[in-house]
Amino acid sequence: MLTWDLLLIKRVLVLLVFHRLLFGQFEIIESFDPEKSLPESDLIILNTASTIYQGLTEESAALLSQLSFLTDNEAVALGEFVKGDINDFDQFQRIQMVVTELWEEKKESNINGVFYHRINFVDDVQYKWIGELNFEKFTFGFLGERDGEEINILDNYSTFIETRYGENQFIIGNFQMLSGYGLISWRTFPVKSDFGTINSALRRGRGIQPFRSGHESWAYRGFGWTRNFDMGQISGSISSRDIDGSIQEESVKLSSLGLHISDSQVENHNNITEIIGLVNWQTAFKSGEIGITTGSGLWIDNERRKFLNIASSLYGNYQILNLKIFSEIAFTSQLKSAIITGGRLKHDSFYYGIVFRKIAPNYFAIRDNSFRNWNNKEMGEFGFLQEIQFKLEKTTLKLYSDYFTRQTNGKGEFENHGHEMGFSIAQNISSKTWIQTKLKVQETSSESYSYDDYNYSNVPISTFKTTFKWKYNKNNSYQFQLQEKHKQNGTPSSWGIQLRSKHVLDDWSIYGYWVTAKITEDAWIYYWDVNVPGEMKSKVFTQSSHYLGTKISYTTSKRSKIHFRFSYTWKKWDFNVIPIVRSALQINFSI
Amino acid sequence: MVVSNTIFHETITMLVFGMVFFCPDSMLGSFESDAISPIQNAAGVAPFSFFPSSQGAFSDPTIIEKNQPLFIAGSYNRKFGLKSLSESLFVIGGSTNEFGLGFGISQFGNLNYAETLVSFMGSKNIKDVLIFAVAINYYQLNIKNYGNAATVGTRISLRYKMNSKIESIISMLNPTGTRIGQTKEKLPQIIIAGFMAKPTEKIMAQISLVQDTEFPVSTRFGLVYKLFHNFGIAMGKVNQPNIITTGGYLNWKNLQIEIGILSYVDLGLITYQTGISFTRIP
Repeated sequence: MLTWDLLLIKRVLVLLVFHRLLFGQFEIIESFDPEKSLPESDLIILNTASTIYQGLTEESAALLSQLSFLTDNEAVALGEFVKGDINDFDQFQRIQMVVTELWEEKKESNINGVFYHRINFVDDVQYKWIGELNFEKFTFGFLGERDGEEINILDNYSTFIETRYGENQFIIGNFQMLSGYGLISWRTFPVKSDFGTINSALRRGRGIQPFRSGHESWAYRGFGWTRNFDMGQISGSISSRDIDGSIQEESVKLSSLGLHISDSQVENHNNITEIIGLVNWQTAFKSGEIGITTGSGLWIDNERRKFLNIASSLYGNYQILNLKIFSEIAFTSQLKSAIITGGRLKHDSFYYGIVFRKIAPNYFAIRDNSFRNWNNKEMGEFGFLQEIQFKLEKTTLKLYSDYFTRQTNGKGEFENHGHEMGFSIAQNISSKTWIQTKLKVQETSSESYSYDDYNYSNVPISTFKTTFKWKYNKNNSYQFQLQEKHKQNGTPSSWGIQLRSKHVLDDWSIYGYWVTAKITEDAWIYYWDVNVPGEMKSKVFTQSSHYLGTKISYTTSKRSKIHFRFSYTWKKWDFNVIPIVRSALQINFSI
Repeated sequence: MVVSNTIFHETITMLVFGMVFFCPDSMLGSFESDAISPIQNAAGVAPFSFFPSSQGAFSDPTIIEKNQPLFIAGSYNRKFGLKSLSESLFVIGGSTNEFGLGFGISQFGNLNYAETLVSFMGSKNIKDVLIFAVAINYYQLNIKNYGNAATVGTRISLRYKMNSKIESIISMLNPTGTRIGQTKEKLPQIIIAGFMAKPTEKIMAQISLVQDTEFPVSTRFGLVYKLFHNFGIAMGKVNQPNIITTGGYLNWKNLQIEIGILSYVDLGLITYQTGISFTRIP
């Protein structure tokens, strides 16, 4: 009886009514799983594009093509639209969604620069400054950050100057180099198993890009160059900088924490000197592309320990009718190898994709971050992901499954194998108001992270999520989201309810958030948090709690806004505790 | 009576010096005393200039742009009302429609211990909505019988006109970490963020956050009320440290006289500051 009851509840959970409404910053971002990290650079790119440009132009298309979640085809379509080769984005709904959201409102013209100043009140105060200025011939960008209790104002800073001259692109300062499919040099975050992973895994790197993320050790710092020749595109970069991390026996572990508060953290700040050189060549032929990347790095820590690594990769892709296949294989001087290969078959609104990867234990190249499920790199990973999507009139079905296994045979608590799958149904009723029915199921057996330590779970967890959005009128809308999560070992479920509302009154916008979560053991519930523009933090509920959050935005002029958010968290079911208060103030302006 | 006053002043002076010379990490160091105009002090120790006052250019070079050329201003006060602890400030500058230049000097201390700060300031107006300013600061510390030390620091400031009634100000003092002397004592690194509002012609208000990176954040609020055409009063409140402020201004033609009174609630001490400026206030 209980099983049937549970099934009924799950059936109810399957129902998801979804109006095309924007509760967060960007709908496309909100559709990602809050349990997984998002590249901060994507948010900065979207906000910058939204402020500086009034629509799709050559410059704004070039900027948007740097978004990590776009596919190769989508990035190409942006350029084709600007050139007039295509007239609409009917075949690229995600781009249509992004373009609509970015430039729905009438924006001030003649904007050359954008600036954000964020003050985030946590245990101490965290400050962040982000800006980008477009001059006629070049773009200048900067990011500065001081985490709570850090002594130096510019504890972390990042600047870049980007310019184009003919077929050349130059970047001086902080940049990243995206080559192949991520086995040598990639973004700060790897691609993870999720809906739409095939799109991201198929995305080939496009050479050097300005570094816009707040990651304190990931950027290359020096000089990057890309040029298109008749024989193909060549990219080169030279970087020399100090980073936080540790030199291991077979790799260098970069710290992603970025905090410099305790004595040991301050002492280990910039404890490794790094020198890197990278070269990439790639060319296109009739139905595909091929490329080679080779690079070398030297790392020397404060104790004069050295680590030298040389890494090379060969990659390519090939289109056969509706099938596109891709592959990259890489080797390092540490005698480590990795391979990623796969393909996607696409026909009208149907596609099927598969990706294999085999990554050696302790594989380390330069800034490798290819598609993988486990964060743990010491044990390696072999896995294959399959994803299928098809549309039946107005209904879209998605299914993915990822099986992965570690590459070491040693015993231990860490599972040898893992599996993750998801299923969703979306239904589009009309162009203006549409209803989406969606079911998302994930089963996983891998790591999880808490605030201050790292755990792994050997018991599969299932997550069900239902979202209901209702637009009362143009200025008032509401959202309800229910989550159920349980371990597949008979323990009771964790439940979460989120209510969100948005109200617009002239120059003021008020967003309300309420979450009640009943948590069992470590079946934690994740929701997107209340965020100011440029933030995309998720809120994890590790114990039964109640949460109240609000964001207030005041449009001071067409060129500037003030955002304020605050939240209260009661970490007890009966409210018998002093709530934890968090708040932030952000000033956005443009010139 | 005279003897007891002298003992009181000497005790306080020694305490202040003790904090300067033998400070643990979280205590005051050198150049911790803000050199700001009396009217800023009166209106909640505003870290930026939000009322026409030439003296404010020293701590907030973005307002060089808002002063007519040429301006000159100065102020003097005794810190905590102590005869043996004086502060003085002098600034001169001028501007065109797009650029502003200024020079200022401030001194704090006495014959035995003296802090001198010389500031070269420049500002640039961008599209009439943003003023960007940079100050190169030369810090010199003189201690009798110990010698002197000097170093160079910076201040970066932005003032953005959000609309006709609200301006936003952001400033960083010594963002890259300036140190002085053989002991490499860290000079203050301060982040300032705030808003000034002018809801009516008679009222100007400021709310600001000031964070010295080694101290908790200080919140400040103040307003200036224009009682008559050439006379106004100011008041404010500072949290961290706990200070209640008041004062006012009087201007006549190109001259403006300012008074600031700071009452340190927890210390029970009061600072009286007076200043005078000569400018063609717009």
